[in-house]
Amino acid sequence: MRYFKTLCFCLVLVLFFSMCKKGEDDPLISFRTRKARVAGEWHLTEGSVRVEKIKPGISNEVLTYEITDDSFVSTNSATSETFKGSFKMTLSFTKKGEVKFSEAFETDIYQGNGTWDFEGSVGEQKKKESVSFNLSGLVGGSSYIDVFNKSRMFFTYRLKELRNKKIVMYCDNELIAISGKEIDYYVTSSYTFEQ
Amino acid sequence: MIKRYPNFIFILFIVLLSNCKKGEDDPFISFRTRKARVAGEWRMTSGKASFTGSGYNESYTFDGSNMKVNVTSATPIIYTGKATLYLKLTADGNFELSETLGSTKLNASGQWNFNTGVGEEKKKENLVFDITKVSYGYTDGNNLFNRLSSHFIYHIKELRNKKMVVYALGKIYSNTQGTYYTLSNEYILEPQN
Repeated sequence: MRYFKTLCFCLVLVLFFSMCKKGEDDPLISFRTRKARVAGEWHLTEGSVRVEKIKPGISNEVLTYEITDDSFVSTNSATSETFKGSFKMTLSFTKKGEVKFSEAFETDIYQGNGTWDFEGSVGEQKKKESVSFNLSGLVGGSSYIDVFNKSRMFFTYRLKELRNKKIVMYCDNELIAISGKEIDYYVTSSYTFEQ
Repeated sequence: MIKRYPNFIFILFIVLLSNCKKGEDDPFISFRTRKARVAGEWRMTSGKASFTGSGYNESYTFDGSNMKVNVTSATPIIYTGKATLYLKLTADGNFELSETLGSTKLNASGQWNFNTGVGEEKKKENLVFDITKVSYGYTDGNNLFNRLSSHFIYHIKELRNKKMVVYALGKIYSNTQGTYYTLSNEYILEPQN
């Protein structure tokens, strides 16, 4: 009977902590809240960005970036050109809800600051599965889809993995704009940050 | 002692229900969840918006069917035209949006969600919209409700069974020289039927 009670207690405990798992690669058990895990200073270790520019019925242009070891390689399907260069990105979250990021492609620098929040659990999304960024300041211009803010002052990412020392955030074929110039823009990206 | 318990339970009940109040004009007590109150078919009955660029401002007032636009620039202009906004939000997180501003129209659909309340924000105080499909118009056109974007956020000022007031403030665009374009908009929404 004592063994049964201990087993039940352990099962309940494991079930309780496993509910913390939201992203597909999240740890099964974590003793820190999701907010506590997000808060901190992060630097990018790996990333990939794919911007698709579609002119319906006419052409598709794909711009990709592969980022590793503080450098990037970009390719453009329309021109078949490849570019390489240095890349650095840092991201900082506070528990009070402040956020700032800095992203440098060679000498082009984009920096944003504002507030962050989690998204709730309406519909198919799990609570705190996505993180939103609401920028109040942006250096470098907001027109660039291939940058972390996806050309917006308000944007979101899904959290694929959230650990004490690692965050992986992504978006999958996200509609950025249906443009008046009859061009549709979609982005798929993944960013891996470590502390 | 026996009499005190019902009082205590009543006070606890009131305190519990009053925690539902998030927006500044929310009802003190509500027996329906915020999600249940948000879900429904809404139409804009009045509203206002202000778009500001460098040396330029468009100030809109809406009465639910029409708009009046004051353009302040080198040559001030006043426009009038048709202006309607319909929103359908479902409890499973989908939404449909239809906005007409003069000759511009946007019909779009996607997902909505609440925020969870990090920092100064309260839980379920904001509505986050993500447009995933456009059946008519452009996301970066002259429509205002989507804040010229496929992703946008509104603060809920008032949320009642038969009334919702939402507003958004802030910068929507910046150019490489650091000049910002701002848009503030506020809508009073009431059930379509």
